This record gives sequence, C-alpha cells and structure tokens, in this order.
Amino acid sequence: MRRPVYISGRGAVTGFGQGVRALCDGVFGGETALRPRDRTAAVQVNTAVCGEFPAGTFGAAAIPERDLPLRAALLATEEALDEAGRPDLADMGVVLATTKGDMSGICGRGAGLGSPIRLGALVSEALGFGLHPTALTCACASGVMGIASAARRISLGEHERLIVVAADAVNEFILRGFGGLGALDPDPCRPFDAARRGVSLGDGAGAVVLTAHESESIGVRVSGYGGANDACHVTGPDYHGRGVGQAARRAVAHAGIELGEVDVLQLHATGTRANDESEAIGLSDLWSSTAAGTPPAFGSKGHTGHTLGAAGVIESLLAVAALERGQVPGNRGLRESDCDPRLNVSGALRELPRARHALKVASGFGGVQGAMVFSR
Amino acid sequence: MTRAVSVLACGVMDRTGVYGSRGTSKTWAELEADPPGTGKTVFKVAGKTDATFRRIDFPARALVLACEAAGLLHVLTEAQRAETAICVETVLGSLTTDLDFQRSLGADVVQAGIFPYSLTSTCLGELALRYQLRGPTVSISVLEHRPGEALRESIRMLESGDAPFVVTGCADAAREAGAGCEAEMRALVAVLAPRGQGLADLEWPEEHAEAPFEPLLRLCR
Repeated sequence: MRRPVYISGRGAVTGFGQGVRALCDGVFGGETALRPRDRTAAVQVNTAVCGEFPAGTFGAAAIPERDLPLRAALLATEEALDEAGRPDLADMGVVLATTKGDMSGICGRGAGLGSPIRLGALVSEALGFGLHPTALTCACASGVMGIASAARRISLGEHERLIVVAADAVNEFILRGFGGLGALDPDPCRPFDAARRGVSLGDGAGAVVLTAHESESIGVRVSGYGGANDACHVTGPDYHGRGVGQAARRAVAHAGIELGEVDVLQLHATGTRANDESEAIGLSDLWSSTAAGTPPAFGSKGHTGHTLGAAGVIESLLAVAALERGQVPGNRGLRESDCDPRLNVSGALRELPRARHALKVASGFGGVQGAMVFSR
Repeated sequence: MTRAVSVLACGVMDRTGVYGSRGTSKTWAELEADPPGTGKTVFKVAGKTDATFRRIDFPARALVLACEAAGLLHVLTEAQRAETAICVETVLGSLTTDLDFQRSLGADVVQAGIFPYSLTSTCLGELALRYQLRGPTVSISVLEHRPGEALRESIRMLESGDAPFVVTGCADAAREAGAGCEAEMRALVAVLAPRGQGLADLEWPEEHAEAPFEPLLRLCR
C-alpha cells in the first residue's frame, strides 16, 4: 500500500530575491525579474535580459559565479527547513536536482566538473543531513523528477522525510549554449504569445521538504507523479505533444483523480515556438475528452526566466501557491496566443475558487517529460 | 521481504569489447575500431545501420552498443517498450562534451550542436529515440565510491508500478579523468521487470555495496 506524501516546507531564491513570498508576490503580482543583464553582461549573446539573483541576495560580499548554485541551494534549504519546523536532519537526506550542478573545473578553476552529486554532497555536508545525498539530472525536468523520486521513496516506506533541493545559475556556458541553438528571445520572453521569439534564462534555487506525516503538512499532498519520453528528437519536442500529454495522463492516474478534477495547470511554457505549440496541443488533446476542456493554465518563465534544473521545484511551489491563494497568475507577456486555442491561458490574473488539485508539467532535452499533481 | 526484481537481458561495452546475455561477444579488434565505436560499429555488432551513431556523444554510443548487445528489440515488444522507463547512473556525466563545448567558446565558432549533449538526459534520449522507450527517463549522478543508485531507483519504479519495465545501468565514457574517476569507456545496461521472469533475480543493492553491477556483468559474458 502506498503511503501518502505531504509537503511540510518550502524555500526559494530567484530573480525576485530570497524567499517563497518574494517569488509568489512577484509572480501573482504580475511583476518580472527579467532585467538587463548585469553579472552576465560581458557574455556576447543575443539577449538583453536575464533573471539574475539580485545584488545583495547573499550579503554584501561578491560571490564567485561558480559558487552561486551552492549558496542559493543552501538559502532555499534553510527556508524550507524553517517552515518544516526544523526536523531532525539525522535521518533526512537531500535529493538534489540540477542540470549541471557545480560547473567549476569546466568554467574556471575548481573540481566540480559539472557533477550534480558533488553539489548535492556539498549541500548535505554543509547543513549536516544524516543520509547520503542522491542527485538527479533530467535537464529542465530535473526538479519535477526529483520531487517524484523523493515521493516514491517516502511512499515505499524507505524514509519519513526527504528534502528536494534544486539549483542552477546562469553562466557563459549556458547562455552561449542556448544562444547557439537560437533559442533565446532578445527581449523578455513571452510564452504562448504570437510574437514570442524564444526563452529567457534565470538563476534559481528551490527546496521542498516532503514528509510521510500529515501532522507536519502545510495542507498539501504530492498526490501523483508521472513521466514519459517523447522518443522523437533529443532537443525538439514531439509536435503533437504526445510526451507531455502522456506524462500528465500518468500523473493524474497516479493521483487517482479524473482529468476534470484538475483545477489549474502549471505549464513548462518556455517561450520557444516549438515548446509552446506542442505543449498546447498535447495538453489540449488530453483534455479533449472532458466537457469543460483544459483548466486555467499558467507559466511563469516570463516572470522568473527559465531556471533550468530548478524550474520544476520553483514552479511546483507556484502551483501550490495557486491552490492556496485561489488564483491563477497571468502569463506575463501574453497578449494574443497563436497556439492551440483550446489551452486555457490568459495574460490576466484569474480567480480560482475552491481549487483542490494542481498539475505541474515540465520538459527537458532528451525528450524527458515529467508531471506532478499537488492536492489540498 | 527481500526486495528483488528480474533481469530479462543485459549488455556491456567496455575497453575490451561488446558483450551481451543473448550471445553477442565482439572484441574491439574484431570490430576494427576503438571504443566507443565508429559509424560502422552498430552494423558489426547487430547487423543493422545507425545513420547518426557517429555523431552522438561517447556515453550515448556506449549505451547504444550495450543495448544492442542486450538485444533490447528482441526482449521487449513495441507495446512493452512504450511503457518502459530508463534509469541510468554516471560518475563522469558528459565531461568530454562539457570540456569540448567550453573550449569552443574561446574559438571563432561555438560548437552549438554539441551543447545539448552537455546534459546526460540527452544521451538517454538517444536510447528512447532508437528503441521507442516512452516511459519515465531518469539520469542519476553518483560519486565513484557510491555506485548502484540507478539500480535502487529502478527497483523502486518497478515496486511502485511506475513502469512495468526499466532499462537500467551505468555509463561512463570520457576521454578525460575527472570527478574522482579514471578516464572510463564503459556502459552497462540491463532490462529489469517485476520478479518472476527472466534470466536471474537482482537483489536490492545495499548502500555500501562496492560492486552492485557485478551480478549483471556476469550475465553478459
């Protein structure tokens, strides 16, 4: 029998600064953390903006770029542990989710060599977690797959509590990589808008404490998860969105609910032409069997930028916040969608009374698709 | 109760050759190439062409050869593969690609085409694409002295019913040493299913198991 898994703590560091409240107030308030590039200004690439951590986020002293993922991960972890009531770390472990983790040794000096588990070990050692860390790297779906992995372990009875920590920071390697693929919008990204030209990137870290104990919960369960692979191209999505639809279908089935019971969708919504079109088609096709069609949907990369491996956790926190606040944030930058009109997106904040279930989807290079259901 | 699953097939590519539980046994001398192979290697191992093999990164090539040695297409039907998960661990990750891409940033032309391979999930995507594996895809990063997490996660996925089959294994294929690991050229894959079928049982690898993949290696030769 599967044990239920609850959320007991949350933490985040984004372009809005430190804290889940700053993130949620920014996104639900329609603000954006995409600003003219500062720390990365010297990188020659075809975009003017980035959702960098604001100056001063980590104190007055300048932090070397290579240390940003660790410093952000630690801040987010501390915040999540605070909300969780400071559980005993002796029998807790870190599930680290990132794209590259510690890039030292590849970008500049150091020994990280893009090994995610080394970042996980640093976080674990710095805060004194008793269990050995694990690390997942599933491209931009890392955060979602990390939550799924931790939930699976708790559900099977292996652990009482785990913390999922996700972090990535933008650097020259990443900016020029996406730039070389022609994937960057020169201006702040506009997911689903007809004039969209690509993605904007952002720094980010997120953390979520999962527990088997309802008494410790913030009132939200991880009720389902699912994954899939497009199996059609290693960087481009399946045009018909079959992978994202399949991951969503599996997560909803795992949660034991009907599609029509999902109250809000938190989208991957990168702002690239290919992602947004396929995501809209895949999810709309999935909901085509229901009378009401897709529930209200939102993405948040126009607010935070694409925080890569951290996005799945940060955006899951926003999905949970949508349930708590009873609101669906507007899709920043969206004026007129040219994607499948069946997908229920809007540029304006919408009310969401009596919401119980939120579905979060994420995609990554390698055709990776992940989906989570959060329930109140 | 013992936590265990069944092994349906397995294959390995290492510095000596390509071997699998369905009888594949080819040395690199017989294959007339160096690991992880050239555009002709898949044909020499499996009798079929692979038009893009020579363009994919080292870990992906190593994994493809291990999958061919395991006879993946013979072991699972198309319908089964559509539900099959991938869960592979690595110490070195995409180190060679990372260094090549970083070096290209200082050159006149950035090698944008290799950037996606700086993510290990991309090389797992090459498996998904070739074998139409449409279940969840998980790439795990491990320390050299703590192997086996992919096996544990795969067993969890089967126990949870998250996938009926899992292609699991490890892949470390890089020119360079790094992350506490010697320069390696090896991939091992195994097709796992719930207990009660297949070649052998695979028991839950304990946290401190030094060689958790050894039982699978023995099935390959």
